[in-house]
Amino acid sequence: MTDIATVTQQLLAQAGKVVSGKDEVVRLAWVAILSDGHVLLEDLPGVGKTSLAQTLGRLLSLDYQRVQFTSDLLPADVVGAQVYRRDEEAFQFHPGPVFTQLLLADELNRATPKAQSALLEAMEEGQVSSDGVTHALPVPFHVIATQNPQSQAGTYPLPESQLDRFFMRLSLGYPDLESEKGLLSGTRGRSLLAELKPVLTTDQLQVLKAEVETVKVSDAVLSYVMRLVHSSRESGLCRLGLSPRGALALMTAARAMALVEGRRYVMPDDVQRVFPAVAGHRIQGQREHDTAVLVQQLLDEVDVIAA
Amino acid sequence: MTQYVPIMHRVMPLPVLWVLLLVQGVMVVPFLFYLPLWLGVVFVLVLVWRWRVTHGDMRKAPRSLIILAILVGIGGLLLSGLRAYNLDSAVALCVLGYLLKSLEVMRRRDGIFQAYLGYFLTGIFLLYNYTPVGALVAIVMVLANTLALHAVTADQTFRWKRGTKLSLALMVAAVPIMVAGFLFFPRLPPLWSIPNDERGAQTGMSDEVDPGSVASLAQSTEPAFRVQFEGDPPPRQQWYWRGTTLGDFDGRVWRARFRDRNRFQWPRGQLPLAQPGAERFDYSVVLEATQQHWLYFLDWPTQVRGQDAYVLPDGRAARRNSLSQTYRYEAQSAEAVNWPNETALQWYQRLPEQGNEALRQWGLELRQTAGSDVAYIDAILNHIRTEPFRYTLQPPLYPSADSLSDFWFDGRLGFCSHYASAVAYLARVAGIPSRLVGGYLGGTYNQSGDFIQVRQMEAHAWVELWLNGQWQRVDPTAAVAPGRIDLNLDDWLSEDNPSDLPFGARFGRNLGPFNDLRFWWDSVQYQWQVSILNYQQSNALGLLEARFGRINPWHAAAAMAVFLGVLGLLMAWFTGLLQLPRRQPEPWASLRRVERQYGDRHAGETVSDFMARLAYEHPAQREALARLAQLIDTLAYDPQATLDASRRRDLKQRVEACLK
Repeated sequence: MTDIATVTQQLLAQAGKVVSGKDEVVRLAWVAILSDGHVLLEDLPGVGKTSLAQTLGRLLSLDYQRVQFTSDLLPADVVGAQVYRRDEEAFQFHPGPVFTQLLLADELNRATPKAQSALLEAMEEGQVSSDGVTHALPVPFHVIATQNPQSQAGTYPLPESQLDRFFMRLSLGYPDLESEKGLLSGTRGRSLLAELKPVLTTDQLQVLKAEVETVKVSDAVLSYVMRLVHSSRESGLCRLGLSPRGALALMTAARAMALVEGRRYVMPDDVQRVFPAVAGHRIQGQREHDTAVLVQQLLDEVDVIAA
Repeated sequence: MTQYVPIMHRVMPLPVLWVLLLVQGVMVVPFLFYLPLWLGVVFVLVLVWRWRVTHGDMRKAPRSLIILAILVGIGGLLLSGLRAYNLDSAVALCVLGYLLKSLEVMRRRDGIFQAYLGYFLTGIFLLYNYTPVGALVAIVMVLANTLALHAVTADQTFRWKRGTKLSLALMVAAVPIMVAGFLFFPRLPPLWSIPNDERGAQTGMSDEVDPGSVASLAQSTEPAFRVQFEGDPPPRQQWYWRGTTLGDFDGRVWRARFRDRNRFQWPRGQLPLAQPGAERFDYSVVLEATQQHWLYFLDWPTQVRGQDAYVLPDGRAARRNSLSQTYRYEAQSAEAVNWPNETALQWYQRLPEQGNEALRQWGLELRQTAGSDVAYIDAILNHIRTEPFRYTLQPPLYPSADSLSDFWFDGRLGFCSHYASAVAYLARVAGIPSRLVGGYLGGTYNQSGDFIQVRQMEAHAWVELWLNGQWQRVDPTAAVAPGRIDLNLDDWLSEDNPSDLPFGARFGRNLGPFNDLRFWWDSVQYQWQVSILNYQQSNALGLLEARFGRINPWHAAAAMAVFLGVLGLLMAWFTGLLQLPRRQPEPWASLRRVERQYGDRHAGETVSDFMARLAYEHPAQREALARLAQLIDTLAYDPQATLDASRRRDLKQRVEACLK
């Protein structure tokens, strides 16, 4: 049961019933969770962001909460608030929806920066403060935030510093023909959510997470990662290169990806596979253009094998 | 989308461009003394273009402009009178290219190219000027180019102080190699050469003299050669420096017996022997580059020692190759000599059938009254002394076929060649073998350097007559202008004929106190020639030859080149400049084998991506490629995988499966 490759197989098979045809996205999200990271899902409305979050919560037997971010949402709505208890004649902390193991922060960019930052503190610190009292969050704690593309009206785009706190940014995109057919005919989709059976317990998940760190990284791969990172900073392609936190995330994600693939060592293929998701939202080009193109250019130009 | 640009391809910062331009100025200005000034005009045009660059337009010059610039540059050089194929035009083209390169020097690698070309030009410059001043200029050039190289390649912002310091430090570090090369690197003859006739107009004695057609002697204060005696020099009256002998007379022109053509087939002769008991003088001569073959000696030479020097039957000594650089040789002369038996005396008695009838008759009559050959010559000289002959450096032309008669009876104005020519002719009329000797008379003793400097303006011609079984010197100029022999030429000219004194000599004289300075500078140049340009390797090589036997200069050069090459490689290795291409370790060597057959992996492709692409292009090999990719990945990235013998065999098999 703890053979991670098998677990991944099961996870993908189960998730495929709900989020059909998106194996790679599910796998990357799974890698992010193994790496103890948070995921930003950036997509158009109605392509299955919520379904993915719910599916993962269910399959990994994580407590699941959802907060719909709106422009009038207050930090207390997320974190919780001190409530006066008359019978005890004292204030008592009422935990907000953030006290859960998997939090779906839906349409994060619709909320004001103030409400956004309440969530971001929780993501970074693993704890929240209310009226000077610090409350630890449950372990594990994962956030899957969704965001509509910023071109849409009425949004507050996340600043770079906050984007950096998301381990990965993923995008689902429209389903392919076959998946859409299944969706429309009712053989696939959210209606099947209730049928899903967990593939892991929370404890087993924690054990697997601990294994990520044990994955070996050879000098050749380390050098490749460093060249990638260096190139993002020095090549002149990017206005904003990959931060050290981003580089660390890249390394961790590559380890987790190797583990998911059933290997105990990292290959450049793993690095390349996670690179767009890990780096895409952390770097910026010289001009306004799609960072996906930029990321691909970095991957194309940096030699995998040191000269 | 912006492209990724490797560092060497990036545009240089503006200060660096200015440094390059300055260095270019330093490189080009010294050449303007030797090459058409048109190059200076081109440099100004380049400056204008650069001014535009400083105003933010960093584009390269368009191709059409570059072509136009090249055409204008070459056209200008042609109009400046450069011929198609000689040293000057080759160098001028090189400098032109160096200048025009500026039109497109924007990126760092262009800058490096410019600096390297600059080093090359420094070497070329030394062809034009190998004086101490030239060496200083070359040192400045090298420093400037090193500075440019530093500015172009430095990661940090360019700073003058740091750059200059670094250039100087590199120069100092190179001194030991320079000294070793100077001491031990053999001086080789050139492998190939570009004709440099344009520049190297021959100086010194010509091997033909036509006194009648010269209206004015070019008076040059340039040094001809410098002589250093081992003991005391002979008295000034004996400073006759002989070079050529002209024995062939056609009525107007005296020519040397052995002319430039077929110089490799010239016969060898012997120098006279010193008479027992005669005083001998040992000396060394440093001869300026004359582009000719003749060597000069104190009259009369008995020995000559110099590389490739040999003696001709008519008493001349020559060097096999024309003197394109200063040349040092040692010689011995004696006061009185025994000439070897002259076997070609009739050669020195030949006269043309026609011409100069009046003079011939005059000579024959004088011979009859004189009674003996010696008295006859005395009478001739007496005639010159008593009749109103005058010595001048600006004689009239004697264009007719009877030029000697015209001179002797009507003109009576001439310089040494006129008198020598007439006297030699008269001697032959009487059957006395005679010839003209071309050389120099006099010189200036340099106290600080203890040498005698002879200048071009001290050129002289006199007569040798075969009397009593000896060649004997007769200088008719002594009859017409005794001061020319006794005095320093400057003194004599300024006393008798101030207008004949060339400007340079007048200038030097009038400076008075600066005369010392001039002497000092002459002696510096002499020392430079003796100890640097004509450095005798025999001392250094002697040690080696004592150990290894005779050293072939080509072998020595090869050994030296190998030594310097190895030294350079070692330095490059230890400074990290050079990484020898190592044999790639496995599994990359296997990957390389696949690449050689199927084409290179793209930079961003992982091994399995690459193999997958190959599999797509070569479906038959899909299985084998995948198996190889798997093994390579394991070997490359799994820290626990080791390449033992069985794995190695496996790898080899899998590679060969792919290559089938």
